[in-house]
Amino acid sequence: MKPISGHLYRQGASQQQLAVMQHHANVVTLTNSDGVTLIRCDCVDLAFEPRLGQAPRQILFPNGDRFVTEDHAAVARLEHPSFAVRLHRLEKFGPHLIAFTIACIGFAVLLWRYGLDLLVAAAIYVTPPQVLDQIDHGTLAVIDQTFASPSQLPDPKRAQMQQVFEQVMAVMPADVLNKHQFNLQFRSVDGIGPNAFALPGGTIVFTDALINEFPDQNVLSGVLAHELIHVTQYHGLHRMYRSLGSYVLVALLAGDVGPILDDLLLEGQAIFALSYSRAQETEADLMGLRIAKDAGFDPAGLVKFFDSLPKSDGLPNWLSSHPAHGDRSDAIRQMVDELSDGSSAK
Amino acid sequence: MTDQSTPTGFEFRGRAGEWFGIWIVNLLLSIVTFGIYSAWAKVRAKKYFYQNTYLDGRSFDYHATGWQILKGRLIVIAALIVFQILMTAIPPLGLLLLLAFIPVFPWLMIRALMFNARQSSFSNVRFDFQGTYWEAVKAYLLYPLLGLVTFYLAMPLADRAGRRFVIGNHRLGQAGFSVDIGIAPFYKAAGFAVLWVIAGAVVAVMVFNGSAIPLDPQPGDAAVLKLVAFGYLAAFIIFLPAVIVYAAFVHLALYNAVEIDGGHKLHSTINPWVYTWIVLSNLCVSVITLGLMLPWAQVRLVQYITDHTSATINGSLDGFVAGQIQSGSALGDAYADIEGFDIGVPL
Repeated sequence: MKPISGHLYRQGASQQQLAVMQHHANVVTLTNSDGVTLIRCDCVDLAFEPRLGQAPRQILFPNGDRFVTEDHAAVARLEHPSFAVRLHRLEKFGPHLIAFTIACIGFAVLLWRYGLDLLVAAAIYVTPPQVLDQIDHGTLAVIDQTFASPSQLPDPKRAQMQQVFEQVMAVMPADVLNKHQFNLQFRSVDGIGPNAFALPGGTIVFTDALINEFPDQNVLSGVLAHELIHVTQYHGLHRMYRSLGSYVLVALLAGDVGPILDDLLLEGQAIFALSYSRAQETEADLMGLRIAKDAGFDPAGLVKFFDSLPKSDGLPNWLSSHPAHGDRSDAIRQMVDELSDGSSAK
Repeated sequence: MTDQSTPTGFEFRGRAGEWFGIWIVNLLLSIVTFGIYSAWAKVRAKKYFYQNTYLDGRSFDYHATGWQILKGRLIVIAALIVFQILMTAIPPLGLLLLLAFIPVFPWLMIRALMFNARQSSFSNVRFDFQGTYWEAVKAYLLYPLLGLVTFYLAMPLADRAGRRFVIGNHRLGQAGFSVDIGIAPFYKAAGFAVLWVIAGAVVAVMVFNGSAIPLDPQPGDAAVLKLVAFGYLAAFIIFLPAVIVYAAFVHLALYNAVEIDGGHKLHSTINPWVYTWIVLSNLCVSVITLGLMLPWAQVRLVQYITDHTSATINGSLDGFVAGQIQSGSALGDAYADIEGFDIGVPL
């Protein structure tokens, strides 16, 4: 076989010497320019550094010495077929790269649209319920210390709301009740008006303003059912894992997509997260209606609630975490109609 | 063997088309493996640029394996998830952890610099990094703090401290690096950056005539969006170029101040304004082509820098000998990757 010429570097030294590699019957011999044998070893003991474009090939000897050559064809004949060899073939410049580019864009969209959801679902599956309880505890403690004060509601109003809660609980499926520790909390919170929120572990907080301004049980049951859906559908956890997951994915790919573009991806993700949050609100509205109805309340109560609020909070929809109130009551009204059509047809 | 008086130029032999092929395969495999392959992609990318950079017929190289990088990244991601959950579940503990992280940060940076140096080589000899923890605390915590409390007046001083820490603690085998650089070039660079900001602000005020910017924006006002748009525009036309101008002047000064034991010296003849233009136009081209021209842009910048970098070699480059080192774990390196810090040997 034709000799391969290149340079030899002894292990741990920068000194460069001209050398020629020869290969006979599985034995490799390295000689210097005077014909003196430098190294002799079995071919199978050689380690080939994977090929990378036209960069010189490197062959490692068992003793740590390194032979470097630009004779790509000769090394390719010596080397056994491997993943590295195939990888180099894929990377060669050619028309197939157009297909790769399109595949990249396609898979990136798939990853964004479905892959992330898969990762999030897996993360939620492995999150122990104790962690969720602890999240509720911690969050409620912080809320109490920062912007909430104890409820000022008179006992009868509290009892009335508690009764709505029991009535709704009674129609929740057994497996849902097994999975979540629902409990109702009352707080007086300035600045957020008539409002309610759910924590991931099943704690539902109603503000005094909500109960005072909307004593109608049909409204309260509608809002409660909405918040319950946030818990049963793991909406809060979804959002947390999504933002974490997309941050990590963008960070991992950042070296490949370059600066600025990875910032754009993160900003785009933030705006996408808002649309995701709006979709969650709509889901909670619509799934909640069914629960309120099953518990014996008038699902139109929620419509009444949203109709009493200003139609929009001024932000354009795409910058908002919740759909505009006007749109929400329209969608709910339509759903209520569908629900009652269904029952009258029975 | 090179004459001592004439500098030998660095050389970059990579080509944009070739790098594009490697880059797109990296990206494709990273996406379909949910980011797992990105560890191997990083190794291939670093190898491509290192192996194609030559000085006096010898090239650089990068030796980390994908497994090492992946292990480090998995640990960092697990820590991030645990931290995020703790932050939500027990917020006071989360804050405490954040405070506790401050002293860990310099240690992580040392680990990152060390891992990267020990996995990089020139002419078959590995680099090394020997910064101490206390030096890192000064460079990454105390000096930046000084910069902040002096309202950025001392930032160039802090930057110099950081650069000297990074470069001065590198070694090639047993040969140490030294940086002989005063504070003047840093303030000069900052001066040019500030000039750019002032000029940009004057132009912006003339163009917008002040009137388009609402002084008392109301929520829901369409003018708020205009203000946000103006903010982005200002960031891209005024502040981003100013940062690049600063980096360009500092690059020029630093590369003319590095010496390596054995009497070898680096030189740079880059034109900071041309450098700024290349970086800025690279950014524009990359963004407009949705990243597809990024490989071309990267090769273009590296080509410009290597074409304008040279070394005065004392005798020959045959004399470097490896020290006794173990590469250590990739934990710090993974942390730097995920947080987006750029770690590399200072050559």
